[in-house]
Amino acid sequence: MTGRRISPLFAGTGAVLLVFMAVALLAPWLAPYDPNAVSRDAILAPMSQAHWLGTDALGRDVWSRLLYGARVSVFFALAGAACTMLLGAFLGVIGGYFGGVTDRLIQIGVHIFQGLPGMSLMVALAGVMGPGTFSILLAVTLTSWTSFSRLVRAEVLRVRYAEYVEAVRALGAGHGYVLWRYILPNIMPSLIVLWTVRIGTVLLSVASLSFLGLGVQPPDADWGVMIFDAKSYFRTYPWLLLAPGACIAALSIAIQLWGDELRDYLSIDEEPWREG
Amino acid sequence: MKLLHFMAERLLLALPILFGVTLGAFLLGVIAPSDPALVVLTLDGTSEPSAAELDAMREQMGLNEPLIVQFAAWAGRVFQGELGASYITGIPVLESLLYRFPVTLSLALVALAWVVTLAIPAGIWAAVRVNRWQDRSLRTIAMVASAIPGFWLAIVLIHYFAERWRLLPSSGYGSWEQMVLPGFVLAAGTMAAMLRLQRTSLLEVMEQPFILTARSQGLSPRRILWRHAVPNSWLSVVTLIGTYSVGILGGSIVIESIFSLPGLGSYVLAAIRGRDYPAIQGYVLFVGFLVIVINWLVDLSYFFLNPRLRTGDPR
Repeated sequence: MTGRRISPLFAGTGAVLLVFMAVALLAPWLAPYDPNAVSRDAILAPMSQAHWLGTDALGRDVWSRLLYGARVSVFFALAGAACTMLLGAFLGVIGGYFGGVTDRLIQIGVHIFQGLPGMSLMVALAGVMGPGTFSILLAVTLTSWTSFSRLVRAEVLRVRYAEYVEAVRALGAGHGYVLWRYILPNIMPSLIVLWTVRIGTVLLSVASLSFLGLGVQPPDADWGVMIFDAKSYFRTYPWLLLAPGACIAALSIAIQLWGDELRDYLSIDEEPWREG
Repeated sequence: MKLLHFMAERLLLALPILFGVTLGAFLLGVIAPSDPALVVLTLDGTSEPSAAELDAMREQMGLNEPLIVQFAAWAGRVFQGELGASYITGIPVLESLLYRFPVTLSLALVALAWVVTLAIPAGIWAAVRVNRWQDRSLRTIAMVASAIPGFWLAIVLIHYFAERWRLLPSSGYGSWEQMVLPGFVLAAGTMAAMLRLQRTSLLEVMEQPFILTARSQGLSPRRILWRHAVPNSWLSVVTLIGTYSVGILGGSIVIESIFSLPGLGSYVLAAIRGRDYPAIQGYVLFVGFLVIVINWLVDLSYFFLNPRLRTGDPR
């Protein structure tokens, strides 16, 4: 840990992220109401002791919906980014390490998927397959794995022909062992940083899908659905719109800042993958 | 001659991508959980086709052939510009797409205009004032802008600019005023990225030895900036304009639905709601083709921005 200092920004944004994660995990215990419980007596109620952020057009408690929304949004952001990383890293490692025809084929795949417009394909995929957790994750993964595979492939190529790898191979180590023990630890820091960047973009993509009605389905709601629901009422009840919007923005900003700090902390120099 | 060679080479590189886009659009129809024959036969919402009718329709639509045969037939039609007709309206998909394309194109151009007139000067300014308050505040604005969902921003801006202050129309298509707000919202995320990129790119160029040379020869800082540094910083900026045009095409789906613009995005949304697979596939093909063209134009612009390509020295 020499020369590495945890900056206040790193700690602060990390704490914010922890709070969001905790809320996502503990939503059933933190929420005062059932997020989908409709109440005819309390339609569009103002903020009060009973309903901290008021209620929406169906009389559902906004605070509870926000907490449960965190559960859904955070899950999709983490899981979507993780799936993307796994697929991208897998193909990147295979291509970079084994080279040859395999690599060629994967590279062609990368070119093809890079040529496809992400959001358009995501909407088409989610739309064609019908809404659901699986189709959201698949849509998010298929449209964004290329930046991972490019990064990983470049990193693998960098260490692939290093003398120490050659030495381990000469000592009789198998490909799996070399990959796991020597290649993976080398690319881990960059992978983690790229993953955090990805979490932020997946958060926004899934929210957009939900807003379009192609993501999370009623009665469940993520923050994107809540914004959609608020569209007709926010003029008199601005909280309905502000609360979920602020949550998305706050989480996304915290991730961005934390990712930047993490990169500094792990001392990864530039950001050649950002454009993907 | 050099230019022709370069253009042809880039065009050749686009061929596998074109193939991939075609395959992708085809597979979209394959993974669809509902049976296309059933969709076609139950369009009116009342009829319940018998098993025999279904089989006949499947045979007629070629759904009983092996996938590879289906794909070959489909790709063959696609390359003749035959994208099929919408299940719902019966209008040829290509006709609808071409009819709607100008809407999305003008939206994308307005968005690009926002990027070029706002984000690029701001990025240059941030680089000139690096680490001072101007730079810091611009970077903060950029960060917040990239974190706000576009649809949220759209709702808020419509409320203030259209409903409260009545400065701009809230939706619809036909006049340039109607494009200002959607263009801005569509550009917001891109502007943030472009500001950052212009800033870092210019800062990198300013550290190059040739800037030091220029300075040592006594050129004025203004001349160094505008004549030597800024043009050199544009090489990487243009690359990203290509990448983000792609993002703008995708983002237009959300924006068109909010601002009721009859473009490509609202076409595909309507197609998805109606399970209109030929329309969805046609959309993916069309957009994929557009992206290829955009990237080709971006490559072409390198040729003019980077004189080293023209002299044949690759680096």
